[in-house]
Amino acid sequence: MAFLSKEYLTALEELAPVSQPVIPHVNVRTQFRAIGTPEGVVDYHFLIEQGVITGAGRGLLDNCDLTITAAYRDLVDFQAGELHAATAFVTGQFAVTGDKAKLLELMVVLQSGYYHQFTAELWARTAR
Amino acid sequence: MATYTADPRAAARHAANEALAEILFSPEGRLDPYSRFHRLREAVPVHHSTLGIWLVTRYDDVNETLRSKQIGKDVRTFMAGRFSGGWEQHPALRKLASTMLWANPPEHTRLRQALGHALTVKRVMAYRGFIERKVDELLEPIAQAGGGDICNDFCYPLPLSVVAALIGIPDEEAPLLREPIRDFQRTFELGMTASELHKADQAAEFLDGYFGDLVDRTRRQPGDDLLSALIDPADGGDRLTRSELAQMCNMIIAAGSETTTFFLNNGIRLFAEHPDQADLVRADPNLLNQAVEEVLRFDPPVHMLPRTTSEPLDIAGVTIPAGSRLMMLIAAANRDPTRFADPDRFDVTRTGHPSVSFGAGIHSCAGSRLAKMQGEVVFSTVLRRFSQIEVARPPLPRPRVTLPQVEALHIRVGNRGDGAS
Repeated sequence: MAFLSKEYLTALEELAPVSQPVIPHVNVRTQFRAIGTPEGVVDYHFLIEQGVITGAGRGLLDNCDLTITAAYRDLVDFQAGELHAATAFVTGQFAVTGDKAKLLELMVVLQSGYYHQFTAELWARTAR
Repeated sequence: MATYTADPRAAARHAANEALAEILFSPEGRLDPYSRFHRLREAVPVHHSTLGIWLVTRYDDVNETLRSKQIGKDVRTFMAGRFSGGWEQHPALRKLASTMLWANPPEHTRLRQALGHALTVKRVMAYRGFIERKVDELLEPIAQAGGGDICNDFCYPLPLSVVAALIGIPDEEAPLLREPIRDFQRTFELGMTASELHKADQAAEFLDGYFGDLVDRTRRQPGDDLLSALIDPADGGDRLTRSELAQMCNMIIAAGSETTTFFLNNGIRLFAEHPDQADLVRADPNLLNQAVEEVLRFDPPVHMLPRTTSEPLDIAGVTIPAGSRLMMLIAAANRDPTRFADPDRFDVTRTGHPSVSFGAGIHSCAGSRLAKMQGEVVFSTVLRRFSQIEVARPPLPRPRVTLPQVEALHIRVGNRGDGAS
């Protein structure tokens, strides 16, 4: 299973609901654009409802709150636990457009120990 | 930017969340947090952010809340959900939880009194000569080269040497502590990766070992230093255990070195950026104390202080429930226009309200006198020695939140007419 492949995103979507607690006020539709992947540019997205990633997949969302553009290498480092999301945003490695207020809701998820734990498990069986 | 017409409170909350997101998670916010602090304060001065943390930004609210008895510091409440796995498996988190910085009365009172009895005005003032000699020694290579990285080659080693000497750490051992302290300090930040936590764990184990050994060495051979005074209180006060003594040394080094580094660094940068204000201090050395206060107000090293509530608390008519997490935005409070006229102007002649850069209440900085004394010596020496100070290249902001600051500060120094700059 390759990082950011359809299989990877499907596995993430399946793992998330059993691993994340409900947080009613956290609802955010995030579009990602990965630059420089082995396939070139890859568009994928996360749908987060009540703090839980309920959808993850390839392609563009119709109405997204945020768009995050990042180098593939940085996304790998983030997933591997080498780059913190806060650092990536502050340094501009993760470039954000859209409703910046919604970034706080995304960070509630990305900073949580639950997210780190289940994505680390997923990362352990991901080909690099 | 989203727009709201139906609910002005929703629009204000959105504006506050947007400003906070930029402060915490954008390159622009790192470069200019202050305009965003104003936006946050103006939108919702006591704001429950979508991060789940309450933010307090007005001077009076921050000052009063820090002194409130309903306010405490529960590290597990504050960091809830941030780390996977248990706290007990991480030496860095165990160490964080055991420090006086996160203690509450009566435990905090006992530790703070022990420190207060040893860290006397007389003891602090006795280090002025040491600071003056160290400033001259560290400044010389920078003067010879016509400039350099004042942050890493001067502002880092100076306070580390000073607090190390104060504690009784041999001078040659102080530099060994810089990296472990830096790695451990990451636990104070909102964001930390698994590898950073691993590094912090290793640093905590090293520091526990080092300071435990230092306590043993000092017990065998006491001297005229702070640790000896803590081991054997002259007034018959509370004796601390070996573990408490080791944690106290760690806390003094951690809280007293990097914060002072950036206080000094910010001051030198501000004088470089405001040569008219530097000239005022050169012309009238009596302005030095005001200049020190203004540096602390205008650009404090620490921007926010974490707190938790043990019972419901009212802040400016807003009820904060028990068990809440709060951030006191002291850097925002210092720019509150209701307390500081023209707050975004760096003005060494400013008088009036003191800043809240050292906090307030029971957790206010115990080392503020030592930090200010270093500021007095450094700023007076640098301004006297160099009539021209320039920032040589834009400083690179650190990706930190609580103690943001910069990775390096390259300056050029010289004197008018000598062609050095």
